Amino acid sequence: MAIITPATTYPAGALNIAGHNANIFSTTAGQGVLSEPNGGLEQANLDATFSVRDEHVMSEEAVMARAESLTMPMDIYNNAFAQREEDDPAFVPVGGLCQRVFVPYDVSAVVWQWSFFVSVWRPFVVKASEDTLLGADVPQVAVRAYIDGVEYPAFRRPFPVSADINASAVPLAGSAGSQISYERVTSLWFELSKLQTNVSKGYRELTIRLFMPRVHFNNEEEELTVQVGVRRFCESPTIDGDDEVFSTVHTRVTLGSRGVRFVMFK
Amino acid sequence: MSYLFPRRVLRAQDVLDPIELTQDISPAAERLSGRLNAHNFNQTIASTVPVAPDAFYSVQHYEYDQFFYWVGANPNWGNPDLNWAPGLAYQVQNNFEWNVITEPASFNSDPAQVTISTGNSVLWINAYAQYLWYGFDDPPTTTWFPTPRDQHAHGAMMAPANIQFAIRVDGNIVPESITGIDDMTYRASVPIRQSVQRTASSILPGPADIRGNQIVALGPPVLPVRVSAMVPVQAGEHTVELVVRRVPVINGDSIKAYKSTDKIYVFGRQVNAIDLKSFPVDSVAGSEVSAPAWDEEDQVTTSSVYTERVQPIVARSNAVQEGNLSRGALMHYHLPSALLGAYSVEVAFTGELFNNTMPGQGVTTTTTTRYSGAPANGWTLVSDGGASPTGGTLLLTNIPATVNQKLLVLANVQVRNLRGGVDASVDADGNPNRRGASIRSFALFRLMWRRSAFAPWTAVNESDGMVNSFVWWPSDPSTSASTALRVPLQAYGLEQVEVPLMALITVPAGTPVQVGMFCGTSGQSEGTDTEFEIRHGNIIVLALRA
Repeated sequence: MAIITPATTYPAGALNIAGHNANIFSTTAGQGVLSEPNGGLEQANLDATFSVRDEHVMSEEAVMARAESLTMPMDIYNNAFAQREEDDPAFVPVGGLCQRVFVPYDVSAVVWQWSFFVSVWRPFVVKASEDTLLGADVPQVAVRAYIDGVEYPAFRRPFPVSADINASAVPLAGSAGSQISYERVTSLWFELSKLQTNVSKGYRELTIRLFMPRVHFNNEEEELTVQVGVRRFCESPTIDGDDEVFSTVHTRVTLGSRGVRFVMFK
Repeated sequence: MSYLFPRRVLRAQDVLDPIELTQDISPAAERLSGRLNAHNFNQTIASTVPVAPDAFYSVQHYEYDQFFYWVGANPNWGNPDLNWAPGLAYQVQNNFEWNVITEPASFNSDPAQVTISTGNSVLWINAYAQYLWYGFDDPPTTTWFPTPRDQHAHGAMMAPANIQFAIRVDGNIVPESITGIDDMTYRASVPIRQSVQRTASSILPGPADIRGNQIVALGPPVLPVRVSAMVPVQAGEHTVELVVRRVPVINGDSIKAYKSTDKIYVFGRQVNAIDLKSFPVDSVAGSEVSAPAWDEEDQVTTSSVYTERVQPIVARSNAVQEGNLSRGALMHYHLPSALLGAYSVEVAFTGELFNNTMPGQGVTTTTTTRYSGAPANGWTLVSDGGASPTGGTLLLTNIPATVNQKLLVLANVQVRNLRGGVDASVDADGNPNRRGASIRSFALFRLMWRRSAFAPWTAVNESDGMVNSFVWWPSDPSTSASTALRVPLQAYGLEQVEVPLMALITVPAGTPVQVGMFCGTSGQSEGTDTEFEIRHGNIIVLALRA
């Protein structure tokens, strides 16, 4: 009972000393104008018109936001990563797309947002004779989202095919290793949001991880190589345009503006 | 003020000193006069205390919806029709300057912006726009055969739209919200590397690579885009805008000159800014309690002690008003949830196919048939019919609506293998048709809501999004009789394009509501039915206080 009831109303006559003391401070609930508000104000103490207003709320005690971002372009080639022997794909955290936040108290909802501009060089590779498809493959290039180390499958995002490579020993057209890139048509913006409810106090971490294995055509042992005209590498009039060199096919992810945002609701 | 304790305990035969009597009572009055803080309230108020709708955040929202127009009719809409866009949609200027997206003159040219007055805050901004690069209805040749590069008047098969959106706050672009790279000349190497390093005796020794193309902005000719940002702001009025620019296309060493007919339009658009309050401006009038100091020779009476001093303090302690609290008096343990609710569904589909045709953007007819030999007509929920192990349908049901609220909806799906159907026919010259390489297949998406499973759906028109089959593999398809060489190998996925939708739905108090994500196609593409796959998706609904 938090409603304060006076111990004395100071009637005429001798001063009620015990009553006065109880009116000021008391260990009895419902008494003492000093003692009762010492952590004891409850709903019953609030005026009928009272409602919580914005200035009553201590900063970041109801909502809190954090953001990280990078705008510097970054080219990531698949041979930047070491090859792994085991089957477990090596998903590598991406700079500018990771965030570690301390949640200072248990909250009802957290929204993670991440967005990034990406341009991917990911070829569709075919080997074919005149009328027969000998094989086709697309190297894997994808990102996955992890929160506190747990991967969430609904947020897996493979990237679009953006080039063709004819790796045929007997080419369909043009020279072996001819490639057509329409990468700039497939440059995309990804913006995703993930909700978590009933998140407890502590450090929380979002990491967007990239997977770019070496290009092994249909799991061949060697990395995919094609023959490419020398002129593709250098527009020099002094070299023979018919020369071809063996070249290894890689993949590339170019990231532009990218960022991670975190907002939590008590 | 924190805990208060009496300076003394009055005892019998004590002299009634006016200073001590004042110190008995006045601290309580002083605390009630705007100094109640976190130490004074019991945590039990968290479950009962009423909250002003804007106590934790305030929401400002702008929206404008504009349908596409089509050259065909339901169910075979065909290509978007350019003739209707001028005067309705916003034409992006080809001058590489950031421009705020505006409504038509008939709508007072209102810009895509919100203004919001804040204290010291963080603005959580979400914005959405749908753009379309016209030219599908006006290709250079009446039929795109024999070269599939003639499907778009301005070469959208190989040339990028080069569109960048961004959020602008008080005239400053938020850099991380730019949907691209700010350096318009940026290009990266084609990752085909010579296997053996050339030696000093080789011609042109040293490292070598193949120069890549300019990659700085959005490439597809049709795309919905959602951008977001968190921007700390100082106290004052702030303007949040959604802006757009078209980056010049660099081909080789030259810049492509845009033709006068080369036009990109922005259709539906939204700007949502949520003021996450840190140090808000004063919103509550002060409220004080008076307990005058005692003076020498003042009489101790019922009136002077109780009526004038103790009773006002007791009364106010039993009816604390908003002005009695100090700034920042309440901590998280005093407060109810900042949201009225938060709901989500996440689905990792197994590659669901859709070929239902949309009945029209202004029409809410739905169908439960996602894919069939004869495509059903109507919007259908993005669903696998419950087959997915993690969900099954991008639909949220039983969202309570016992009080007025605003639902902020953020939804995503990843679409792939958008295509016209496989066609084994041959053309007049006997060559196999190349339908697999079409970029003129369209998939549309939208958010809708309703009160119950039996109520009609209400469309959120400004959430409409559309993508096309911009990955036109194979770019130079074989004319072989081998189907495997003429059509895309769908197992590998093609577009893998992100469709992010958003909406702010104002829901009056009533029965629970449902929110779902719907999709459909524009019907026939190059004479065959359009279809697409969905692999991943999710919806978030935040029920904001309103």
